Formats: sequence, C-alpha cells, structure tokens
Amino acid sequence: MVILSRYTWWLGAMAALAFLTTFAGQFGILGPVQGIYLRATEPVENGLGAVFRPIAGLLSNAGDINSLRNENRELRLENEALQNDLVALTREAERAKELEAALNITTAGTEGTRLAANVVHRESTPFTDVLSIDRGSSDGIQAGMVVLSAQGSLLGSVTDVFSDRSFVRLITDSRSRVVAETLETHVEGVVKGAANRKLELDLAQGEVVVGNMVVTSALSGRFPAGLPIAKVSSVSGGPQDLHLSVMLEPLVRLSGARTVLVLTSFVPETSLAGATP
Amino acid sequence: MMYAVGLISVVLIASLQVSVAPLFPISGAEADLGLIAILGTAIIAGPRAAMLVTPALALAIGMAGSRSPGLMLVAYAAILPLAAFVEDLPYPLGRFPRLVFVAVFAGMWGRVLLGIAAMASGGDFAVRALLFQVLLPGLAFDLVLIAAVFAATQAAGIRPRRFTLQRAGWLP
Repeated sequence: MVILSRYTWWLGAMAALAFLTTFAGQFGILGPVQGIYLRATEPVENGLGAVFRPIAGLLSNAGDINSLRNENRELRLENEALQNDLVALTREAERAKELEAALNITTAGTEGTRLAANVVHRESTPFTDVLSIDRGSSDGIQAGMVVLSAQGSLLGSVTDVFSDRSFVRLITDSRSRVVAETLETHVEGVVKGAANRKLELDLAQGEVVVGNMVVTSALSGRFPAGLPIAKVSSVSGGPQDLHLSVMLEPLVRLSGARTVLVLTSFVPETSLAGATP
Repeated sequence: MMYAVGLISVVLIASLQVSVAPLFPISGAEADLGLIAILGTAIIAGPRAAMLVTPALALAIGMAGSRSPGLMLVAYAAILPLAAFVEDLPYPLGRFPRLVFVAVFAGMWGRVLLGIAAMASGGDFAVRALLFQVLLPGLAFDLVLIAAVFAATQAAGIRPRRFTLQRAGWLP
C-alpha cells in the first residue's frame, strides 16, 4: 500500500486532467486544439493507412475467398436484373417528364448538393461505428449533415466537426437511430444499429417481407425522405406480436467505403435549432 | 532530444491506434496499442517515463479518434498503479506472468469502461457482445503483443525495469 500511495498524487493529477478535458470538451474549448492536432497528424494517418490498408484488404479477402465468389455470382445475376429494371425506369421517367411538362408541374429533385470526402479512418467496435473524413467546417460541413455512399445510399450523419476533419456516425453504430419506412408497403419504423454492427427496423407494424427496400422518412426532420438505407433480410414475429422483428442488410459494404458524399444542401432541423443530432 | 523522440512516438502510436489497429480486428476487437506502449515504456525506461507517456498517449488517442480524451485518461490511469500493486504481491511469480496479469486487468478495465460509456450514450446494452466480441479477443490480441514486446526486450538484453516508484515525484 505504501508503494501504491506513491502513485496517489499522480492519480489525482490524472483525474483532474480527465475532469478538465471532459469539461473543455463539453463546452467546446477542446475543439480548436483537437482541430489543430487532427490537421497536424493527417499526413501521418494517411501515410499509415496507405501502407496498411492493402495488407488488411489482402488478409481479409484471402479469408473470404469462397464467400466473395458466391457474392460475385449473385451480384452478376442481380446486376443483369437491375440493368433491365433501369431500362424500364428510364422509359417511365421520360414519360413522367413529358406528362409533367404537359400538365405544367414542377417537382423538386432529391439530389441536392453533395460534397465528396475521403475516409481517413474507421473506428469500429461492436458498439461504435464511426468514420473520420477529410472535410470539415472550412468546407461548409455542419453537425447533423447526412452522409451518403458514392452510390447514394445512406451511410450515417456527421456528429463532430473540426476545421478540416469531421466524424461520421454510421447507421450500424448502436447509438444510431433513423426514422424510416419500407418503400413498397410504407410501413414506418426506426432503423437502429445493434451490437455487432447489425441493423434492424424497430417498431415496425404492418406487412414487411424479405427483400423490401427501406428508405428514410422525413418525419424526424433529420434526413430527407427517400434515401435508400437497406434491404430487409429477415422478418420474424406474427400478427399477435406488437412489433415485428426485422433485420436489415445495408445496401453498401460499410467497411469498404473509401469515398463518401456529404449532403450539404440538407441541414437537419435539429441543427437549425442548435441542438445536437 | 529524449522528449522529442517520446513526443513523436506518442503521435505515431496514437495514429497507429486510430488508423491501423481497426484494419486488423479479431472478431470486432482491436489491439490496445496505448496499453502496450505504456507497459513497454515502463519495462524499458521505468515507471517515471511511463507516468509522462500515459497522459500524453491518452490525450493523443482521444483527440485522434472519436473517443473522449477524459475517458482515455481514466482508462489508462489504472495501468501503472496496478502494475506496482502486482509487483508487490507476495507470490512467487516471474516477471512475465506479472506483466500478463497487468495487461489482462488493465485491458479489461479500459475496454469495460469504453463499452459502458458507449452503452450509456445510447448504445445497445449488450453484455454478451462486450464479453465475447470486445473483451476476450481484445485481451488475446494484447497478450500476443505484450509477449512480443517482452521477448524483444529479452532478445535485446534489456533488463526489465521495476514498476514500483522508489519515491514520489514527477520528472525522471
């Protein structure tokens, strides 16, 4: 105990420092210091990532070679079906434009202004799934902004913003909640990340079947409506259950995201009100 | 010069922790390079150097990632006192088993703390995931690394330093 007592003053100093940094973090005093640190260390992190990412990719792919082959076969089939759908949808879109022009109707697009950003690193544990991107407040990014994959699927939203860096909470983070609905049957629910980076549609009541597409709903004011999130991978529970248990499969492989798009034209209502998303 | 090398090493380890360690997960868990670096510093340079490295690493890892620097300080603060306590235990244990004991309990403390913080901030209350996906694989990872550090010091002929402080004080 005498030996431990020699650490007492040091433990006290550590506790005081922890309290001070937490206090400084809560009141935004730590933000500028962290911004400078992130800017200074960005080349180091980029360099390390460039060296180790190919090695990690090689190791990961070597272990998954059979599942990748199967996935590739399924993707080829799906791609063919999607190409056919695309042709039909393009024709329908042209027809819709003609009708809109004839009826003098103008509709707002859901594209918005998107800012491309590179993923610097990803912090992924069974409870957290956070990306760091190389864009920040100097690029017009604000907390709460929506982040999409390069193909336009919902990835998450911005939580912390520094001058040249932002942190993005992915939809698979167990703290993430997104108000959503199924595209086909308009069943509403909350897409929430679960432990182990799983994704589920909570509080869903109604008809949901495997393969249904889940998209964002504008109800919460935090996301624009109609952004694709995931496909329903399994449904359990029957009419006697209050809510269905719906598991989802994200449309994008989150671990492979290198470039993301920040929807800068959509500012969530919570950000406008000055609250944390 | 020594402080400059120390500072660069701290920044490098923090960058490795946030940008490289997540690329090599075992069942969702990653190695705690901060813990390994603090123990490695204590073995090679003694506890006083580790007392400086601990807050620097905690702050650097906290600021480089999305974890709270305050929480990282609390997580790492336990390492050195625990090491001193284990060293003082009246059991006939060798240097390496004592080091393993410290790595396991300090790693457990840090991971449980971060897991509870994630749960408290709105995450799922998933004790099973915390145990089987975070704690066990993470601790196994740490043990492999600490064994490698210990073996490297032995191979280099470095005699491991004691964790016990001979007197209170700050600077080495």
